[in-house]
Amino acid sequence: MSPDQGQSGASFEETPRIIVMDDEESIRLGCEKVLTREGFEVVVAADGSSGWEMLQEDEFDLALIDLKMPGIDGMNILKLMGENLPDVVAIVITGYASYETAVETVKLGAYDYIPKPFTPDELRNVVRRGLERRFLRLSNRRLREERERFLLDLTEERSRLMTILRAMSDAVLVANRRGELVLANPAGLEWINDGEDPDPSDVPEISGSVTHEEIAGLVERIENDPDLEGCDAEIETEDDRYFHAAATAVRDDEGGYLGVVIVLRDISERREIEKMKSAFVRMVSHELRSPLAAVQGYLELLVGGDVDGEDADRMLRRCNSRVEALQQMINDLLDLSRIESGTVQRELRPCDLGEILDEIVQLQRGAGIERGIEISLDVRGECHVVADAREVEEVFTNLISNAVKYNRDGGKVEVVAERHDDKVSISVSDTGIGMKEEAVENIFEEFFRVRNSETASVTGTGLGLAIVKRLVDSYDGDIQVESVPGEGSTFTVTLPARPE
Amino acid sequence: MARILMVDDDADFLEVQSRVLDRGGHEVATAHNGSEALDLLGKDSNFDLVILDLMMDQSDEGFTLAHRVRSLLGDGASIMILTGVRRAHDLGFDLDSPAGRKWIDADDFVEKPISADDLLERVRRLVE
Repeated sequence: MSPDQGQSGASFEETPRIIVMDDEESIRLGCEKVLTREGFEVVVAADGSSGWEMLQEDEFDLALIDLKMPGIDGMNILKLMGENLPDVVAIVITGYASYETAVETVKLGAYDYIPKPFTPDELRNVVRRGLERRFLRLSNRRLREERERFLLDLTEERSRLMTILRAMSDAVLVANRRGELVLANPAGLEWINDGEDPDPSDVPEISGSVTHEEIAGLVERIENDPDLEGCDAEIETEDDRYFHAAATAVRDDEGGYLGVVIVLRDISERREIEKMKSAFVRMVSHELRSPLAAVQGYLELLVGGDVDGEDADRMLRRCNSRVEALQQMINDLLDLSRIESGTVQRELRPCDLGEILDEIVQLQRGAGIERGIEISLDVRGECHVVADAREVEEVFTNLISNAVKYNRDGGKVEVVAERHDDKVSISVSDTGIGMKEEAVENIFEEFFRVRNSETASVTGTGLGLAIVKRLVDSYDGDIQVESVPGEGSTFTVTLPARPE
Repeated sequence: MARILMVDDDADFLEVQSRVLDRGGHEVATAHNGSEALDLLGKDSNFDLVILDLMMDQSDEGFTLAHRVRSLLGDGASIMILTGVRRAHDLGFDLDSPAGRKWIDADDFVEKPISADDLLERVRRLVE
C-alpha cells in the first residue's frame, strides 16, 4: 500500500519517516518490519541518546519511544521533543501501562501510547492515527506560515505604496463609489477638510468626502458617465496658484464603477513662465508696431500724392530711419534670445580691454564731435579678461554710445578701466540728463526706455542695456548704475580678470 | 469741422496723423507729451476731441492725463485713446475689459497702427 493513499488517510508529499527508539531488539526489528511493509521509511535507535541525535539530524514525522531506555529515557526525550520538535508526533511504547504514566506522557506532549506487548495491527493503527495527527500539524503550520507570509506581504505592499504616495509632490486622492475619501497622501490632505488635519500618520485612514467644488465636479462627471475613463480641469486657488487636476475612473473587471483617483499637480511655475512669455510678446509687438504705424502713415500720405517735394523727401528719410530702427530692434531681439538660450558660439580668448576700449572710443568720437561731446579714456594697470572679444565690444559700445546719446551738447564722457586684484572694473560716466531712481531700477529691463521731452529725439530699441546686462552676467560679472537727474549717470562693469 | 488736439510722443506718428486729420478738414493742434498738452488746454480748452497715446512715459502719465484732460475739457468734448500699448495690462489695466476701459474715462479706444480712412471715420463718429 502506498503511503499516499495509506491507511493513515492523510497524504504526505514524501514517504513518512518514522524513528523507533527501544532498547529491546525484538521490538525494534518487529516495528521496522511491520512499518516498512506499510511503505514507511523506518530508522531505529537502541538507546535514548543516539535516538535523540538522529531526531535532531534528520526530519521525522513520527517517533515511537520506549519509556525505559539507557542514556536519555523516554520521558526526557518527550521533554526535549516538546521544546525543540513540537510538530513531530511522539508515541510512547511502555511495558508498564498505567493511568499515571499515560497522563504524564500526554502532559509531556505524547500523542498516544501503545502498551507492550502489541500486535502488528495495534502498531499499524496507532501509527496511522499518529501520522494523521502529523499531517494535520503540518498543514496547520503551512497555513499559519502562509497567512503570516501573506500578511507580511500585504503590510509591505501597503507600506511601499504609502511610501511612494508620501514622496509624491502631486496630490493624490482616492474616493470610493459613494464619493467618500478612502485614501490621500500628505499633499492630498491639503485639499480636504479645508487643509486642516495635516497629520500624515492618519494616512491612509482618512475620512471625509470630496468637497472641493471643482474636484467634486470631476468626480460627478465620472460617476454619471459609465463610458468616461477620465477627465481633467485646471484649478486656480485663492492664493493664485494653478493646479492641473486629473480624475481617472477605477472599474472592476465587468466595468462596474468602484471609485475615482484624483491627481493634482501644481503648474503655477509653468503658468508664470507662460505669462511672462505672453507679456514679452505683447511688448515686442507694441515696439514693432509703433515704427510700423509711423512708416505706414507716411507711405499713405506719399501714395496719396498730396505732399510737396520737400516734405516728401523728409518723409522718405523718416521712413528710412524708422525701418533701420526696426531692423536694429530685430537684430537685438535675436541677440537677446541667443544669449538667453545659450546658443551663442563663443570664442574665449584673452582680451586687452585697454585696446578694445580705445578702438570703441575712437569710433564713438565721431558721433560726439557733432554735439561738442568729449570722450576720454583712462586705463590703469593691466586690464585683461578672458572673453569673446565681439561680446566685450558689444557691451562697451552700447554703454559708451548711450553716454553720448543721453548727454547734453558740449558734455563729457569719461571711460576708466582699472585693475583691482582679481577683477577689472570699467566705468562709463556721462554729464547727461541722468535718471530718476525709478528709472535706475528698471534700466536693464527689456524695452525699458526713459521717455520724456529730453529723450524724445534719442532713438533706440530699448534692448541695448538688457543685452549688456545679460552678457556681463554670463561672464560672472556685475553691472551697477549711479545716476543723478540733471547731472549724469555712471555705469560700472566688473569682470573677472584673466588669471596671471 | 472739428477742433482736435493730438498728443503722442512719436513725432513721426504725430505728423502723419495730424496731416490726415488736416486733410479731413479738421483743425489740429499737437503736443508731444502730457505737460505740453495740459499747458495748451490750460490756455485754450475749446476742443471737440483730444486724441491721446497712453504711454507717453513709462509712468502712468497716459492714464492720469486722460482724467486731467477730461476735467479741463468742455462738456461736449470727447477723448480718444490711440495707442499701440497693450502694456496697459502690465500697469494693471486691461483695455479689452469694459471695466478697464471705464477706468480710463475715454470715449473710444483705437489701436495703432490705424489707416487714414479708419481714423477719419472714427473721429467723425465722435464729433458728430
